[in-house]
Amino acid sequence: MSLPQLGRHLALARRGGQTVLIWSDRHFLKFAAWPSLVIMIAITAIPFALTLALAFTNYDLVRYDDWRFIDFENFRIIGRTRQTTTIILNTVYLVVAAATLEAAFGLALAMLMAAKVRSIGLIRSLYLLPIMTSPIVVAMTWRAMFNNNAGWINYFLGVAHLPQPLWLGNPLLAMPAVIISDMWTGVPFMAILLLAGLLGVPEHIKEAAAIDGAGPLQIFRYIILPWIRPVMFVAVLLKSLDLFRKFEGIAVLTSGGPGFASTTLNLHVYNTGLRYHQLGLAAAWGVVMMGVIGTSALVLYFALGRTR
Amino acid sequence: MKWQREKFLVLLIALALLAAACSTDDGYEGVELTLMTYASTTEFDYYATLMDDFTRETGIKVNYVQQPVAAQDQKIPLLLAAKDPSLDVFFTGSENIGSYVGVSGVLPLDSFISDSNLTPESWDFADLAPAILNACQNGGVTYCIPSHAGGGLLYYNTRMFEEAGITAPPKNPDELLDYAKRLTTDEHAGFCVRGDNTQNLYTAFQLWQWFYPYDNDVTGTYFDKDWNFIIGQQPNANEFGSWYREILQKTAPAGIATYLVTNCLEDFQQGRVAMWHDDSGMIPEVLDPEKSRVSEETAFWSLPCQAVNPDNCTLVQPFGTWINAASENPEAAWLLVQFLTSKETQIAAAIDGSLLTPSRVSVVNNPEVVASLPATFTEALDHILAHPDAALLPFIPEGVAILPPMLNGLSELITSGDSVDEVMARMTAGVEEIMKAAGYPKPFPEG
Repeated sequence: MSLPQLGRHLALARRGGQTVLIWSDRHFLKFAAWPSLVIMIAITAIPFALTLALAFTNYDLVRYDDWRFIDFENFRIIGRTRQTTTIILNTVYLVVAAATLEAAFGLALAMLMAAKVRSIGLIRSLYLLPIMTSPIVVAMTWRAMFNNNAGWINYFLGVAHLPQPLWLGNPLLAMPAVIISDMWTGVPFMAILLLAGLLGVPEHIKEAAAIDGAGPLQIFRYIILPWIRPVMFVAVLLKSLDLFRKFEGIAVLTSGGPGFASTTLNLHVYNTGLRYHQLGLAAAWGVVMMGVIGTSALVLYFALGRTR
Repeated sequence: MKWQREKFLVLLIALALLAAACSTDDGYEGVELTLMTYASTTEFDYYATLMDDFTRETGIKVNYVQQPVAAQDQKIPLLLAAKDPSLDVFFTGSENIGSYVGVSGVLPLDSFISDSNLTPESWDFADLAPAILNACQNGGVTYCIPSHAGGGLLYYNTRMFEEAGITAPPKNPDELLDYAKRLTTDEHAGFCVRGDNTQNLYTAFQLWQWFYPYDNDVTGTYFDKDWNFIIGQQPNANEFGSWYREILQKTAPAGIATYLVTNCLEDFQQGRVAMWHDDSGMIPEVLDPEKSRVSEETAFWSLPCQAVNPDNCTLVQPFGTWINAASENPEAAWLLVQFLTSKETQIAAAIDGSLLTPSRVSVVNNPEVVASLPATFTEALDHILAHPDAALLPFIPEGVAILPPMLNGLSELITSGDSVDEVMARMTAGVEEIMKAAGYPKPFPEG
């Protein structure tokens, strides 16, 4: 904007008796956003660009002064690696299964917490406790509970004369064990988010439906669920992103084993970069992980996020 | 006026003399060092109790940091590569020497050792056992001072042996497998080693000593001098792979594929496994009656070398005391290293029961120390030290880089249904690909 234009705006503002400059009022948000935008670029975009560049090198921690660009060789290695499909499928399995189960149980818990009973506030607060517990403590406790010989879970299964499976040492049960341990914090998390949505459903609509003869299930299906759909989308999206990044639960419970039975992309990036010191290859795995997450977010958006 | 000037000069000289008299002899007052080592290890727990004594003697304060194995093993290479001066002295296994020297992360110590102002004769460098000291040297240069040499040995339960009608520990892998099968009952498993793919190389290395030849002191059982991967060579590869698969699938505790050292230790302490092959550093844990139900029925054994590897069949993992090349107080750090590895410290630690495998010959032969060692361990220790293989990882910069295909292959031997042939072939191909990408074959390094 030129100075004459600015002058005309100021004159208009004074003539109207307004004390706020119209020009700065219109552009205030843009100026206010600059500092945070610069910081965001510095801490996200720059590291992202560097990681992308690293993915095309053979950089490792030992020969860090002898690296070179190797085109797509890291991605070719990923394509040739036997465990690539297993790792990606494990990741998808964890995210889909855990997010679905936690959404379902979280919604059920939220419905209970939406009830108007005495001390409901205290009950809601108690359900926050798992979320407040340190993830590493949660993981270590669940590892102890899943212990074949001395764990509580198999003990109570034995008391009930039920099979006592080998939770962490069985390739078929390792990931379910991780999912179960994640649900302990995931279900309350989802419940808190969905509760906010449930409490926003207008009572008069539910009452009107009830008067018209709709049963509880019909009210839930045709009124409550559509109403909380946007909240559900946000909750599932947040939880899915969290599950893609899940690390301590898997590292402590199974170390990604037995074999690769519970190795996910995030854990594999960590192993490749920090255990085996191959940072270039780890960066390439990170790019693959980003692709998987981006694809999943798109699928989720089309499944849940689009409003009618 | 002249008199006043003279008076002033005398006062100045007196003040200077007073300041000199008040300063410490060694000039280390106010220096603080950071030492990092492993948690939950009796030897390092013991050294922690000595730090106040060290401070009193030298004026140097020590920030003694103990952390879990995984944290220590991951943080140290990163700190060294980043030339982080916040770390001064640390303990790790000497198998890392190749990568530490590769990043110029550790100080060469020969200049300190030969400097009589810094190192008194009484500290006695020559007293360090040569076979152990060798693992702390690269290209003839000393980079660490060994504090102990952990040895791989067999822990076994004498009561279970008796119940199974076994009168003596096994002498070869076939006997070990046979005994393990006989000792596998409803009450206990026959044999345990670390199966988790974050730790399985450590014990697999101990077991494959009975199947592969030892080629040289630099690459041990990994490569010959033409850089051929020994572990992948047939028929030894299939023999080892089949034996490893059978003993772990048929006689090990359920879930062995995710077993860490702590799992085997717990099982042995609780009487749920009859034999366990691992590092000798766990001995205090199994002999402590407050922690172990089998403290009265535990014995130790070092399996004899087999014909394929008659001289270097026992894991000797010297633990080194290193100085970070980026340390801002290298001389003070050297004082700390001397203190921790001195004869007096090792004798006290050994008598305390915290140090079972001292690195000093005079300490190993000290009558008080010998008397304090557990029964049957002395014989095992003699065998271990007489047949050392210190190359837990090959002493080359790529020592860590070849781990992924090896760890994966060992895990697949237990967990996958693929034939042993296929698994060992994949392991070999993976290692060869990494070595080729690193530019091998290269001239073979000196020991």
